Amino acid sequence: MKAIIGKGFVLLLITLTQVSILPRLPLGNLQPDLFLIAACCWGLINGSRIGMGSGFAAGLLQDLYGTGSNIFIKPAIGYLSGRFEGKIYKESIAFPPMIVFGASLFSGLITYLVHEEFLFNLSFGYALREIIIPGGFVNAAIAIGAYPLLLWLERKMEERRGGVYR
Amino acid sequence: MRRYKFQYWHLGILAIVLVLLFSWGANYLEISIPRPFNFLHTVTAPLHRSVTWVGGKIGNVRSFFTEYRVFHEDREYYETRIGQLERELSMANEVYLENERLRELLNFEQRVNFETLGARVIGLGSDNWGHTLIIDRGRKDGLFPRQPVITGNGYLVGQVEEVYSGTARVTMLTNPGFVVGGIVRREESRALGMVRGVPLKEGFYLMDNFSWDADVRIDDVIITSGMSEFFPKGLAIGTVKTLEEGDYGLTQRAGIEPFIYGSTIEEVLILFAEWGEEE
Repeated sequence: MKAIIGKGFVLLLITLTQVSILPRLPLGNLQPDLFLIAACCWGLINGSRIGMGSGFAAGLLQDLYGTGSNIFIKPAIGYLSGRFEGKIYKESIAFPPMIVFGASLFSGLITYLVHEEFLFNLSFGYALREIIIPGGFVNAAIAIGAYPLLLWLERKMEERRGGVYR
Repeated sequence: MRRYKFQYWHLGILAIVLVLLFSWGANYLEISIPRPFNFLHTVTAPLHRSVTWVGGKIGNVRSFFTEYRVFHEDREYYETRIGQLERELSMANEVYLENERLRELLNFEQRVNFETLGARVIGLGSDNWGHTLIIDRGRKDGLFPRQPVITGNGYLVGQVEEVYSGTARVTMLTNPGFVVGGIVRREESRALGMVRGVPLKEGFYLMDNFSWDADVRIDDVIITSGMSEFFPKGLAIGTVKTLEEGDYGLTQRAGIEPFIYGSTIEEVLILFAEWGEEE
């Protein structure tokens, strides 16, 4: 229960940062997708089940302010990332950003394909060149710092519960 | 026959299908039922408002120190500009009165004065695809979907898309799915076209479907055409910056620099009045 409350609190912070702080910062036009990074990292740390659940919560919150397709993209990302749990070394620095990059491409492609306003009004080349690939790089760069932070938080919560983290 | 084995991802798929069916069903039947989004918006709106307020204050303090010299220069410029605009306003008032008299003489329908409601922007869209704004006015303030949203000086921002109890979501003109009819303001031209946004290219809209021989020039100002029932005529959209052929030379396409930039909008006005075609 405490783990769910902890993740809920992190998601609330992410929502505030994504909606009220990031757009006001002079970062250029591309914004990182903190919901995607969180769903992906939680999947990598905790496995498919928690990855999918937290992806669902992240997608629901993001769709309050976004395009409307995140509610099914983010759980899929959480689930697929969770398939790598136990297959990669948890303290790895290189793998999580690479997986976040792949998840961003997947998310971008699905978003482009399921929204007719993008599919019919934007060329695929433009979407790939200007939104999907650069967005993937931005998310991967943020994941370099975000993944160790979320891993540290998970371990702290586990220690408080008296458990030993794998 | 194989026995069904429960797996957690089945539960996830079921939850997603139920949410989609729930929202599609509500949409299809056009029924208003309390949705989880409403509750979540009500809960998160005060937090967004507080964060935006704190961010604004920090920004003000930072700009006081970093932009003091610029403020000083700006002040001198604006003092001169105010004098100039006051003179122009007084002349425009004369023209306005004359216009009203002539309209009365010709029995033209009077232009509608829109009722407006001010709103503060408390958040911006959460992804890179379609720009949206979250404003601190909602159903309890009388908002309804499809109302036009403008800035204080009359520039078109977008349209109310979804209304919650205390907040609303506005789709901005930069969303590629958002289209509005535009017209060249120059009296000798009045060429018509469709304006739509291009995501990520903030500071750039496209206006296409101009006829191949339409009189469109660089620096022409584009305003709303008033042909849609949702937008009144005359809301300023932007200035033509590029021109090229479209549809193999059958039409013209213009790149438009807008008067507004999404990330800098802090307050907006929502239009309430009914408007129609002028006679």
